[in-house]
Amino acid sequence: MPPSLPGLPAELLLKIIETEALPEEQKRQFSRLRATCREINAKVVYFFGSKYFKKLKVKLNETGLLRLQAISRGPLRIHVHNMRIDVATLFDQVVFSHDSDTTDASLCSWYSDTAMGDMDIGNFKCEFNESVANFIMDGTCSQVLSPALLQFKNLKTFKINEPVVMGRMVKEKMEGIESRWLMASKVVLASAFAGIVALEQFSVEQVWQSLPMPLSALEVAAIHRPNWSTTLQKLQLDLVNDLKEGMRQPQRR
Amino acid sequence: MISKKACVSLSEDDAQLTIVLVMYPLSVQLLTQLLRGLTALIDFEFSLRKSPVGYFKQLTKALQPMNLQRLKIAHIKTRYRYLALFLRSCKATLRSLTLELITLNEHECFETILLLMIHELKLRDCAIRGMNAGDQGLCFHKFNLQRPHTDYNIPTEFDNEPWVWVYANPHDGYGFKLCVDDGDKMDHWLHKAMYCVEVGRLWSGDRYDF
Repeated sequence: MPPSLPGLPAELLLKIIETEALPEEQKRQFSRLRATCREINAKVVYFFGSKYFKKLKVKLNETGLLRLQAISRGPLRIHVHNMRIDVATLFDQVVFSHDSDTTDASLCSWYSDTAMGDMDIGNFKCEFNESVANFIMDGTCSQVLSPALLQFKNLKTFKINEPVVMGRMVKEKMEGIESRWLMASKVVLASAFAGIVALEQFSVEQVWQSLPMPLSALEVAAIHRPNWSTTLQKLQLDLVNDLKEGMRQPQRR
Repeated sequence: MISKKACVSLSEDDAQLTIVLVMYPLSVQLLTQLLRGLTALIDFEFSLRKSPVGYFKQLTKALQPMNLQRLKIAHIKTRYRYLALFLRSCKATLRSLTLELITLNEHECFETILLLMIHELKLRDCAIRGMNAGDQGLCFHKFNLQRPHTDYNIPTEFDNEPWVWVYANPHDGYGFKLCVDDGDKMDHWLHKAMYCVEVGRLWSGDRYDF
């Protein structure tokens, strides 16, 4: 019987993929081979997962979480060791250059004129992403995220990226971002505490000009004790105190 | 004697067992309830902006001792006493310490922290950045001038003349980093830091400032 492509051993199929020099082309080649037939897919999916799905970046919006849900139901989930939740989706922030055609003054309303002058990198178009806010508020986000995270049994590292602002914003807009960030933090933390099984590292990651996580988001720890409390080795918390309480001596009763 | 109310803190002497309820502020409770039970935790990075005066004191009192090997604390205002209390609670295991944008009460507190690091902790690496004492920042220009950096090339087939560039950055007053594995003598350089530190402008941790 003449050899056919599905009949080739996985090692030879991987050799075919490695003929592409560029990593992006190799990934495309993998995808094309997987799409050829079920038999080939079954042979290469393990290698595909171990090469491209060790780290998973998830955008906190409907599309991102549906992708996460799809991965959690498939064979690739066993390869995910490192997950990063990106909350930059809470608001859109687009930079225009000075010589752009954009002349609408309202585009810059998030930043004061002084801040815009100091930054000197152009104009911004900023707006809240209401679909993401609704997605979080109506509970859909939590309903998708928690069960999906339960399926990632080999997850060792879970990171939350803080949202980034370009400079000092006007008070009203900053408060809007902070309240949305608090809401998103609580949902993600509750899902991570309840859903992940044996985590080794949990990080709220700080980057240049990012907004620290509000301390009150940790309220969810009172409701959901993390399943991974006995396995966690590294904890990274970047917080801001949003509680308006005075600090008094502890009361003894 | 056992009081009628719920119990958090225990104290015992020869005559009696007293159980008292200690109510910490919510901001302290939120963190301690998360940290409680993290028995395998060896690496902890903690930063809290806008922390009220006295926060770290109460956090230190509320926390159980931990077996940390690596610790980073940032954006905290505290007295030497409570920082020392926290560090001593994990001194048996602590090997790496980073203090960033910490505001201590007085200049002398910084020296005492360094003495604690020299005599009580067995650190393999440490980093001190953006320290403030009272209303002044601590600068390490003089210290860093004594610790020149080196840069060197890797000879290639076209240029096989190896070179080493030794330089010191006179503008680097923000902080310093020491690492035993890189050849730094920890005690020696911490003593140096104690004598070379100068005061300057307050280091700010406001991320929205440019």
